[in-house]
Amino acid sequence: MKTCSRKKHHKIRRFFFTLSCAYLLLLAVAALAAPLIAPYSPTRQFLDKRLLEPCSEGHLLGSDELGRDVLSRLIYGSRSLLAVGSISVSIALAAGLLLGIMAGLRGKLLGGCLMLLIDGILSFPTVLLVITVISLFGYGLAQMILTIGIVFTPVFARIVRAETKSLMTEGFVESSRALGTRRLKIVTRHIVPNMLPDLIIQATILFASAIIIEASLSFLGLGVQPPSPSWGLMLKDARSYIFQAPHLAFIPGIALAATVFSLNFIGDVVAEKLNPKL
Amino acid sequence: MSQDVLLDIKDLAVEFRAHSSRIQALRGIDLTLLPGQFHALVGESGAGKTVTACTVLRLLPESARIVRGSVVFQDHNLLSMSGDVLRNLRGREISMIFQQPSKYLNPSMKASHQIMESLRYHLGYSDRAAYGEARRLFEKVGLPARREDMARYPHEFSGGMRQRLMIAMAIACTPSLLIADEPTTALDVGTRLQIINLLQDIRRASGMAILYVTHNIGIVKYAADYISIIYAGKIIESAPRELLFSEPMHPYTRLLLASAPGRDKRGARLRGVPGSVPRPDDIPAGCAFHPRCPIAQKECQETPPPFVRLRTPHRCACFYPGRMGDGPEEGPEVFTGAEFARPKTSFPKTSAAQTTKTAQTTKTTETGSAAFPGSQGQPAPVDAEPPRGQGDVPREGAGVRPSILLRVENISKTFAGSGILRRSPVEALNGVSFSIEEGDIFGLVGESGAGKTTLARIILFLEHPSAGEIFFKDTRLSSLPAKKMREMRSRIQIIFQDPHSALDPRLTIRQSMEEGLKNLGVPGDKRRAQVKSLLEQVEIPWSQEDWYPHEFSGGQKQRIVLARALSMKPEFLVLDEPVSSLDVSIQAGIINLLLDLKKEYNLTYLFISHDLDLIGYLSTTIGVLKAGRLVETGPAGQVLSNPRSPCTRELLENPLSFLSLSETKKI
Repeated sequence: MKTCSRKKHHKIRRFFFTLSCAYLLLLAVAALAAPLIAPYSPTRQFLDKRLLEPCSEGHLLGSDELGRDVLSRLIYGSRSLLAVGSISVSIALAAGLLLGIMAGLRGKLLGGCLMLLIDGILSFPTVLLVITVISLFGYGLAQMILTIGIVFTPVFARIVRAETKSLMTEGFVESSRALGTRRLKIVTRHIVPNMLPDLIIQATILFASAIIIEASLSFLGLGVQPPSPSWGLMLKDARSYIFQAPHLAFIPGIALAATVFSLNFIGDVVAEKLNPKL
Repeated sequence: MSQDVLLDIKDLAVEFRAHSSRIQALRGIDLTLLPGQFHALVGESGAGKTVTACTVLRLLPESARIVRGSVVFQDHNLLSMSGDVLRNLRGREISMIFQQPSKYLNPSMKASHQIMESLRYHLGYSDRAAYGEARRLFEKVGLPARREDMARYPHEFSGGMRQRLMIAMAIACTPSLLIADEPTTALDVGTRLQIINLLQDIRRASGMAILYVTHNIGIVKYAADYISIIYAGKIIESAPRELLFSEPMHPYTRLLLASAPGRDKRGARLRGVPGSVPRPDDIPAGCAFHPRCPIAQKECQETPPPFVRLRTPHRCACFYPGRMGDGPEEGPEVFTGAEFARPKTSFPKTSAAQTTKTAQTTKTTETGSAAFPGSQGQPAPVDAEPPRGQGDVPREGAGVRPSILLRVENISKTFAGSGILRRSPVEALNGVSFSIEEGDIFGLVGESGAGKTTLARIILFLEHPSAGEIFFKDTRLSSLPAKKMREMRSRIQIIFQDPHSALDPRLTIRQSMEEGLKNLGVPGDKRRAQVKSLLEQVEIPWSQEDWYPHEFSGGQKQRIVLARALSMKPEFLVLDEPVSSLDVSIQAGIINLLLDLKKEYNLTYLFISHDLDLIGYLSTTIGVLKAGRLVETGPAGQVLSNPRSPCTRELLENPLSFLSLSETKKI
């Protein structure tokens, strides 16, 4: 009885995992090959075909208030979305690794100062901090990526520091020191690979929140600027037509939700796979 | 009503289900416990000791399933009993104590309340009566019983006191059976003895029976009335203590008894059990022991031997009981070392210690082998000076004066305390000085917390001393620049206690092995060849070079770690409890290997252990560390036969140590 339900549960998870992977793959392909796939340019306006319903002739997902093709905008919008997600998380991962390892290896003074700085950043509400930074650097895609990267750095730095500290006391690190291995080599060979699983999980979670932040900022008018396509922007524009054309809000909304869900789900499964105890 | 049997376990089989695999934890346990008996259940890790203990109280995890068998306690079948009746029985008639009391005591409950709980629940005591009874129990187990002591929380007690508290809880309702699951394994030898004596006193006073689960033969020999040996989920031999030790019938029992290192075996080669304990998901067909058994026949591979009565109390599951002798020629040579044609001390005979004692008197008279006053007036457990000049454990070239390899001068280490408000510094080492001659085995013995590991780490320069200097071949280590230090590192290597954490789980063993060689700048093809020959030497098949550490057993991992240390061509090896986390049956193999390697590579060892039997077995010089101070150093024979420090004497006299058993039997 019990084993049966467990098997079923396992099967469901497998199914969702495959679905999530397929969806993200589709998204990546769409982003990379947007000009080839998209039926129209995302900014081309068909002023005679405004606010078309989905499944209209020539416009699979309908068109918006300026007659732009929703499908095309969705496809092009995934570019900024994935760029923001992957680049900002990479920046945060690199900076977090560097700071975290430094704080973990170094003594109390430097480590303490670094952690103080990091905790300072962490204590700000994320979106508020991003808005502050953008008000300094001005807006645009690059600035947004950079700010999200900075905001996420402390999250990684904290994990890396804690893991470094605990791994440094592990027997294999001590043995390696006794074998005369240089510190840098110990870090690259023993410390980083052993904390990688945790970092991967954290990265998928942050990737999802980066996407949400991108959408929210664009929605607030602080991110991607019109007429460039962005999911957040599409949501923002859809607000005025929510009753006439609800699909304008639904379609990017569902796409966004599905992306975040897929990322979180994959992160979950990867976490389980990488833990030898499960 | 069968008055004379308290607990009767018959053909009990338990399996665990994980995913699709079935793990046979117990494959037919037969065990009979009489009232008031001290019954020891002895086995190695994974043999099913704890599962047996937990099955009696039906405390098994959900994934476990009882396949067959019965557990009858005072005419109640425990396996078919309803939850309510069982709950009433637990704690009241059968109670249990565990290895880690800290895990089983509620940290947010006062000590007195933990005891009062079961008194109120089972016996319906009022608060007041329960408190009075709790105080009485505190006194009974030797805990201070003032009001403020009883109001303390578990973390304020030491490990030994916590175990006492757990015993007090367990005996609160005067149960007729106490199940003790390795209650002293985590304790120091001295505390261990106190706890066992306490259990014995309680048992004698109340007539309670004890089912004592352990892997420690010393304890068994000291305290048990009756012994059952468990191997791979089956009882393979059970007998009263005297009978088991004088006439062990099963080959496994014989090898197990013979493999324990003892001070009386100095100079003789240990006899180990080849191979390692089978994994519970992969138990060999037929007799589970046959792949490791030196006298296994075809029959043993096919049919599991029945557990039969040999004579009245003695039962054994072997087709050829008692067939295996103690002689070295019959025994499996664990290691094909060249030179071990030594006279062997025959082991379990009680006369062994006597013979060695007479043998040594000729050697150690100059140090005064006169018996020192023993606590109970028994003859002093004096020991054999290893017969030097016979090419044994100590250095060979008798004429050449050996030079000093390592000199430790006045090493002190103080750790900053770890409190938020109060930071009282902790003194780990205080002015420790000694020197180790080339070719020596310096045995450093001490209780946990004595500073042994800190000292090892300081010698390896993994930790900086607060004061003092270390000289290696007259080079002051603290003055070396970083680059020189890295070179020096290759000459001093360390083996840690825990082989499981000593290998990076994400590297194959070849990658791990090559790390040190890479640091030395050895080119790729040469590295491979060296790794290969080293692995062969420690008996790890070369075909397993691409395996990951978790695919090896503890003993194999320790061999790999040893090979890795040797790859640096060290002159000096620090061995920090290298065998204490390993199963008894494979310890001997590692120790033999260490002695062989020492000979072959002309190594010097600093051997750190809490186990004086082991230190006494292989050291040429012994140092005794107590609370950060070196209280005694000297040649092994002298320290063992004529200790100057009371601390050494206490360690030597401890009746739980394997050797002294033969002479102090007072229970």
